Amino acid sequence: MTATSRDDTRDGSAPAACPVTPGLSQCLSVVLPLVPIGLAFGWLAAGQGLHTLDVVLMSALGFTGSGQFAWLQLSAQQTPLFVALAILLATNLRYVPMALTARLSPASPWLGRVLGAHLLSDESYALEQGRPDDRTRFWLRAVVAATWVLATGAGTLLLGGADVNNPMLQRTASFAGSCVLVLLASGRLRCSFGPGLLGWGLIARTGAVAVAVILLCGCRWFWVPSLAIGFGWHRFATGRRAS
Amino acid sequence: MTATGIVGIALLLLVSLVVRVVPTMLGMARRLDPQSGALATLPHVVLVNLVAVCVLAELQTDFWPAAAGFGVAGGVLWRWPACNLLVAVGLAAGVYLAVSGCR
Repeated sequence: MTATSRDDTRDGSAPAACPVTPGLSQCLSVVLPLVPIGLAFGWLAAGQGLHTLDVVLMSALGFTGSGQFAWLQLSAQQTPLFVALAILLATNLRYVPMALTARLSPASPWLGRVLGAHLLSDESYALEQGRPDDRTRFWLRAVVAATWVLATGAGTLLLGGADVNNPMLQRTASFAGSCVLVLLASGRLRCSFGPGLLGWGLIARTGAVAVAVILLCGCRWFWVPSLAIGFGWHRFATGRRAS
Repeated sequence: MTATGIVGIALLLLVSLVVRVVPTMLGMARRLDPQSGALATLPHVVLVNLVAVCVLAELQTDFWPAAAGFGVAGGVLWRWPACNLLVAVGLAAGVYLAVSGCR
């Protein structure tokens, strides 16, 4: 299946492939914000006594981003292994459909398909849209993964002695993470609705809505309304298509 | 290497195998028609996911990174009905946590 089948449009019809061509600048815009997040993970891991080798191998073999952060917290709380595994699985279930819809061609080498599946990430999944070439997609995944591994390893070396309660470092990591999500979301909108949609007016209105939702729902649950609306909209679109 | 690191590597590697490598290599997508009624189950899958994440988020005070991850997942089209089973596992984990009071 190519990226065409995992896109969607306003009316729910089969969309055209994203016209955005693969480019270094687009790749960098997603990969570079990963660096401070990776540094933060290394810094937090070092704060819990993990060595650089632990962190590098965890990032390479257990390449899950949020799952790694979750593991740090779960291990600090001495959560039972079964419970920890269940939580890590639950928070990474999204990779199942992502892996299925973005799998490399069966004609690719076996090892390449295994590695390609393991290296799949949210960032590479978004970058791959409209790129049916297996080689390009594999290297996009590898670049994202290598950046993550190097950044987390560097975090233990450069920030290993830093105070884990340093608010400036915490804000730096969370800001970069939010930037990645905004970039991915805006890229998705541009693919679906065209480049003319994302004007300053829309950004200002969206910002105002976001602030209102945060004030209304609080910092922990502000994301629920957007997903609920997305859920309802998708249900409406699929219902209309079925009828 | 530390024991925490080794266990973490083992768990996360297992997770990666289960959610990414094994489904891909078993060729599940070829045996399931993604354009059929599977798409109609998408809202249910997302909804159950949300419930699971809400339970987990409630139990894990600083679990917002997972919530953010599922926010990204919200933009992903889930077209595979068998995901309901896997999501149910996540939900069961959340219920177990709620019952056991693990925090």
